Amino acid sequence: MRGWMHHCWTWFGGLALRKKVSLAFAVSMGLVVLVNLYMYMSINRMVDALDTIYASNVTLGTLADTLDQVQNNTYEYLTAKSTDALESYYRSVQDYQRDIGALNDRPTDNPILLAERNIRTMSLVYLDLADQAVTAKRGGDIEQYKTSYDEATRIYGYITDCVEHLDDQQFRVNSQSYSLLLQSLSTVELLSLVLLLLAILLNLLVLLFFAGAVTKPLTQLTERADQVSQGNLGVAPLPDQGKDEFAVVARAFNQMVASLNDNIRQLKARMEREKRMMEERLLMETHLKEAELRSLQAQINPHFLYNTLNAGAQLAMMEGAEDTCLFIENLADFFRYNVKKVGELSTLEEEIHQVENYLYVLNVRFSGEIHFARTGVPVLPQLTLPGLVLQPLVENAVEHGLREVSWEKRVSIHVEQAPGWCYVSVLDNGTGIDPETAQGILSSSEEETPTGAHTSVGLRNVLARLRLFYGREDVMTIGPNGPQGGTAVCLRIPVEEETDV
Amino acid sequence: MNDLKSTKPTTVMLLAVLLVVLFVATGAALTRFQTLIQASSLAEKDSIQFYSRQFAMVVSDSDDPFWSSVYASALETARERDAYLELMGSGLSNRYDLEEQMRMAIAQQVDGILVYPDGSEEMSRLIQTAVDQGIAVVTLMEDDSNGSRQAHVGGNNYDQGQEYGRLIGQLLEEQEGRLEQVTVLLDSSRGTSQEILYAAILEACEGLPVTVQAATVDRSDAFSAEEVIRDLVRSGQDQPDVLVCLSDMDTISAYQAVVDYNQVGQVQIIGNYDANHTLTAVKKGIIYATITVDPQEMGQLGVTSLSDYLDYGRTNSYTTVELVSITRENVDAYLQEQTEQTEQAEQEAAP
Repeated sequence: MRGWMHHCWTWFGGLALRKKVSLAFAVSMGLVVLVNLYMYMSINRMVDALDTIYASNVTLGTLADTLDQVQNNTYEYLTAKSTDALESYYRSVQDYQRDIGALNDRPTDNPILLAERNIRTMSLVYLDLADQAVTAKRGGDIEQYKTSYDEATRIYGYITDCVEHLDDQQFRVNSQSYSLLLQSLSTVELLSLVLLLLAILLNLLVLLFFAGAVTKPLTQLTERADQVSQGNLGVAPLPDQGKDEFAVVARAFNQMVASLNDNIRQLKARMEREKRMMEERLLMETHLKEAELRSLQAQINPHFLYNTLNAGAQLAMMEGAEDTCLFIENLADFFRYNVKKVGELSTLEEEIHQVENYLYVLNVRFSGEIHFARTGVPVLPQLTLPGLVLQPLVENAVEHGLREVSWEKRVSIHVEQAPGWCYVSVLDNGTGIDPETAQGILSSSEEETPTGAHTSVGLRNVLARLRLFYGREDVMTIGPNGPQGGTAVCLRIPVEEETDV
Repeated sequence: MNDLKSTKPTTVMLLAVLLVVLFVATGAALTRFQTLIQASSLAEKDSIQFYSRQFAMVVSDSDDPFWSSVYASALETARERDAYLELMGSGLSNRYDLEEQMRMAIAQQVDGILVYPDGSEEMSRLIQTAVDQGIAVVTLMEDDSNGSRQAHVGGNNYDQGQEYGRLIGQLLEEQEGRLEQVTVLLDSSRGTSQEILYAAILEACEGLPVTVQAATVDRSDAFSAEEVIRDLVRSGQDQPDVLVCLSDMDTISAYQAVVDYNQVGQVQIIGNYDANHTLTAVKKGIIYATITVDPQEMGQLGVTSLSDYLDYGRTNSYTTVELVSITRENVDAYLQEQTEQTEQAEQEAAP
């Protein structure tokens, strides 16, 4: 049933609007016409039945009239003996024979039919006697025709009485039938009225249903359009079914919403991208400014120091103090590099050289107590990274890891290579760093400037710059340096293809 | 469209289905109703039973309970023998006398006639006419003096007279000889049969210390019988001690007169036929006894004789119906028997 209805529904949905409306009208009109036709037919049939009810009384009346005619004609002939009377007599006898031919002639317990049979048999006897009388009259047998006529008249009386009685009985039965039929007719009328009302109701329902089917797409379209106009572009698309005019509009609407959505999505993505880029640039600039500020601060002394130190180195050379000259030159190189490399790229080799300069100066200061070593693979000549990255890490190791240490202090730089990556680690054998602090450093955001002690300020700065430079988070790990203690800070630097070659 | 299918259409569908069901139901009811009307008129025709023969029963007083009883039983037997028995004169607006009824039956060319003849010559002639026209005639109660009828069914008049005499003797014994005058109510229209009956009564009363005399009632007038009976009961010194009634109507009239004139016990009644009133009076002791022939048996035998004659060309020309005397002693047993018979007949008629 449902499947069938669904099928019909789909078929209906596929019709053009004009056809839909016409079909709805045709179906409803057809229904009403059918019901009316049915009512008309049934009432007509009842009325026909009503018409035939008293037919039997009418027939009986005719029969009685014909009998009277026979009797009168017989009498007339017997008295007048005219040819006209004889003719009328024969005609009426013929009529009467025809009339009684229609009566029942079988014995029965039905009073009406029994009376019919009695009338019929008596009539036959009567006609016989009348005939005898007429024949006797023609033959001039006076005695005979008188007897026969008397006999016939007596039987005529019986028949008349029986006919009256039958008429009465029939009338009674017919009246009963009549009232029954009349009652039935009113019942049928009532039922027909109920039927008509039901048909109208059904009709309304059918019309409503069709109208709903016709206007539903329109309502849906209006609702969706309202939503879209209020900015809700996430509306469900209109169902794409049918071939009518609404389906075309619905498809166009769906397309419109889809392309609107597409455009907005693209716009949003572009805006997102631009915003991120802006943020990055701002952050870079901030860090750069910070670095510049730091370097400017540093530059004041280094420039002065640098010139002074060069003078000092020349003096030492002239005086023949070789060690002093070397020390001052290293110190000068260290400062020069610092001044020069602010905001610029440098190679890993340059960075390591700077670390060496720094440690030389420190060792002169602290009478060579820090041992430095380079391990791992040879450094890639063209591997570039932001300047001033390794020296702050080493400074951090010396400042925090090795300051309080009484044993032999060691710092080493270990370089390792993997496909696409270069790992540069700064290792020390100092007091080490606890995991919470390490995690704190790594998870601190770039903007956050540490207050408190300038613990690992250099470290944070390096981390932030590396993250910004490479655009990734996993540029650095901090952990213990093997089982003997100390700290390992490992930089994870992506190696570009061209530098690889 | 999925929306349409899932939410609103469910209700709409339900309503529509409901309406369609109502619609179909009303249409079906209408059609069924019309079929019923047509069927009822057809059924009327279907229930009509046709028979191969038609009989007529001709009696002077068809309203008489005795003859009604005879007719009922005869009709039943007739149906069994594939014939319909019409009680002549019933239902017609004119009241026809016995001879007219007989003529009508002959004119209707029935197959057989059951007649209670009045003993007149005209009736004999009519019976002869009927027999001449090939109509079988069976006389009931009273035989046709001419004897042209095919058969007779009735009580034996002599036996009946003897039974009346026996009852008179029995009453005399019970009353220890205080009875002198016995009056027998004779019907002037009934010839030979009553003469035989009266003679038999006289014969039976011979040697009893009573005087038996006849009072002839003229029945040409509808109410004369009752007047005669009332006169007799009222006649003081001359009133009879025992009133013998030979018909059921006379019995009821006599009973009514005795009660009305407060002559219960003064005038003893020996009646005829087992009408309900009569039996009640017997029970009360107002009527001493009543003699009856079994009307059911009579009707049954009458039709059987007719049918036998038509079927086989011959039948017993004289069939006797048994006589029953009902007194205060056996009235209860008789009533019970009647009730049982009636119940049985009703049960047979029911399906």
